[in-house]
Amino acid sequence: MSLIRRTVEALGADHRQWRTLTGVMLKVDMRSASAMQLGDRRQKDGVGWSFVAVHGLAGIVAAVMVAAIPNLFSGAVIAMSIVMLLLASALLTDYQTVVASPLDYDVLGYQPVSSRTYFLSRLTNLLIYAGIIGLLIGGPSMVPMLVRYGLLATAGWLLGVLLAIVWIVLIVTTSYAAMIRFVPPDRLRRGLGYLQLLTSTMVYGSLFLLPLAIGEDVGNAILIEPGALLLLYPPAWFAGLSDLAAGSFAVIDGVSLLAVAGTTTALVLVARGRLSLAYAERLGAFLASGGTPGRRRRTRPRGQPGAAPRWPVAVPGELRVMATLIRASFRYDMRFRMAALSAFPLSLCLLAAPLLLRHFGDAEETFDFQIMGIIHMATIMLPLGLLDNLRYSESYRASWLFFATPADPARLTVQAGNCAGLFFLLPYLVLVAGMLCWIFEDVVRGISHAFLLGLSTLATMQLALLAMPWIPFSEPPPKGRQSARQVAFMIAATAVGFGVLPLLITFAISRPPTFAAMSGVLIVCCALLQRVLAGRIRQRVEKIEFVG
Amino acid sequence: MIETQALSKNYGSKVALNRLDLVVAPGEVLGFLGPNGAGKSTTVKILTGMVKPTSGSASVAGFDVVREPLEVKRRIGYVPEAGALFEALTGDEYLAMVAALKGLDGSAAATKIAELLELFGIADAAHARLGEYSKGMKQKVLISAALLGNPEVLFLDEPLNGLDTNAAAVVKQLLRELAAKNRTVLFCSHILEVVERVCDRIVVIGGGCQIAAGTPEEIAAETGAASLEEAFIRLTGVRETADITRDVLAALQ
Repeated sequence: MSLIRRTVEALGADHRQWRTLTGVMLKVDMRSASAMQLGDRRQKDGVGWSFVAVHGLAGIVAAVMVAAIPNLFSGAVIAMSIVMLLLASALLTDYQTVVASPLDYDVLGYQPVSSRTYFLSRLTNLLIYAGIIGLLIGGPSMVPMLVRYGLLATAGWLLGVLLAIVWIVLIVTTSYAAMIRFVPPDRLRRGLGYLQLLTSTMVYGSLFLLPLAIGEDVGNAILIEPGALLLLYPPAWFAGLSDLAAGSFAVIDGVSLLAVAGTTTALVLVARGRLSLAYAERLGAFLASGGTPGRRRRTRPRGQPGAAPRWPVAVPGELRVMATLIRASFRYDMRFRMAALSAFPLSLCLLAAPLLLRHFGDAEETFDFQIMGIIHMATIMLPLGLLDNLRYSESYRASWLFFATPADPARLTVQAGNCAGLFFLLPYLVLVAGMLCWIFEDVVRGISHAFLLGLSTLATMQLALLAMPWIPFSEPPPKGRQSARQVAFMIAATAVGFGVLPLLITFAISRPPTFAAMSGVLIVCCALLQRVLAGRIRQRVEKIEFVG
Repeated sequence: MIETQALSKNYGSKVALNRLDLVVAPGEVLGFLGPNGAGKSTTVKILTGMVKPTSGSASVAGFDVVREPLEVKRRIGYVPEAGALFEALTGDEYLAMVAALKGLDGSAAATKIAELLELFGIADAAHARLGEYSKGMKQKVLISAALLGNPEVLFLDEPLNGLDTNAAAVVKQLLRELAAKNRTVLFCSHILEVVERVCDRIVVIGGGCQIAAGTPEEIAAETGAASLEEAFIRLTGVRETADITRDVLAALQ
């Protein structure tokens, strides 16, 4: 009897069923139904080259950090932070339905599969994905590790990466399983949303804990002194393994080793307990209840049943449709809700970064450049990410309505962009404007800056729509590619936020005439883009077919 | 054999099923009827082990659906109304998965799968992905999956949805043959002509409660109707059909 079989059976699962389900889940994930249905044979590999390229690129960045930082522990902490941050982010954005997968229950709920076997198959599926992502990001660092610090340090690094992968997978799955166990079915959707929000905040927040932990070297990030605060930072535990393997033994290395062993053991024990849960029944109850939010229903002030919500001003029908769809998707589509919620913690952490930078009192120029770059990046990223989410829906088959009625898909797409601007960008800009006023200690300058930033972001959103048009809520969610898209958005937002906008806006707000000229140019650009968008998009969306 | 006693299910304050007593003997095809939202699908979900009842008991093939759900699931075949499938799998891959989950031997299962695909006329599409199948082809796959393993009890929720005339005729004949082989069949459908032709007995539910039971003739006689359709409307309709039709047409103006 093979070791795998013995392990699976020891965990109380049926080996044959586990093998079948794991194979099926991998096939389902690897084959992109959406690409197939769109008839694009080039994209038939569901995970795709973009997935490999984006995570591989992150891996190269991590490797460069290891090569550039002249200290094993410091380089390993930075690189491990990148590995764990991106891995956790991928699991939260792409695999948040690992436990609560409605389709799985619909297909498998009446098959003779125990909840233990099903859960173990899901866990295996997740471990395989996490392993691929983790090794894509952490693997390239082995090269500079080997060259600079030798074989033992490299082995320690690899062990650290593998343990970090298992650790993160266990954290994510046990959290979701616990949520399903303790939260009543009718509140599960809302609960999962909050859990997503909490974990995202913790993941991104940990990145900003690092500067606090390593003190004044944050600006250079060259030497990280092992200190007590690092014990609160999990990437440091796993990074410490390479230091330990290389023969350096500091107290923190020993404590890190204990922390890794202790928390991993604890998580395995908790996960074993969770595996015994009949969570499928709870999931069934959740689905049978319609998964409606537990919040009490608000009685809408309507004249008669079926009347549309009232708007303060006359708005196009397509905008009303999109607003209704976005609101309903946020309430009832768990994937959309979680994707939307997960965008906020990252943005809030990015917006909080200037506070940390100010705390450490960098030089004025560096401070301004870093702060402005980060704020620009955050401002562009959130609406772009949310706009991208409007493309996908679990209920994508309902989009037949857009194809079988006189609805103009191009106008729907344009109005989806306007909704993202109206409901996401505008409130966000109010927050940014307040922050800029506080940073500049100058209300006029803060508002002017936010105004130009808003127009630039709006133009960026319009250009993004023009470059890759889609019909709202008409495609199935692209499993396994969301995190890669998020990283791609981050790279694009960094380029624009740090590269183009600081120069542009700094120049524009230096004098009133340049501000007026720049504002005029941007307003005209946005208005022109709005006018040409529908026509251009129409040409492109005409090639898009219903995928249901 | 299917048996329920005072089976109830609540979703929050909503009563989906209210003390339902049901017995379906081996060799019997029971037509399980009711208007939309009457509790038919909830009953079937409880009997297939997908949902737990709030109170009462139910057993299928001699096993309690709450205490021994896996034993129940090993002995049933189920065609769900809204049949979900892993659409990235091919037809034969999906059936192979179901066969493996039911514990069927690999080579024997492959032979059965090939036979079923051939008999339902979808052998040519066996290696195409389910996402590319038409609704009727998907339904044929679901029926084939339900038949794999020669189950003792069959639950068929609108199994004729999307099927072409030939396939529908095969399924109707198949149900009678399976009953003759002592299989128990619970058949949910809104096509009353088919129910009348295929089922030995009918149970009509409304608002989660049983409101009529018997042969089609008995139910028609009991309600003083000329046909099962008329009896069904009298039992479950709140208004006269002609009145509703007139009002709908008026609303269209």
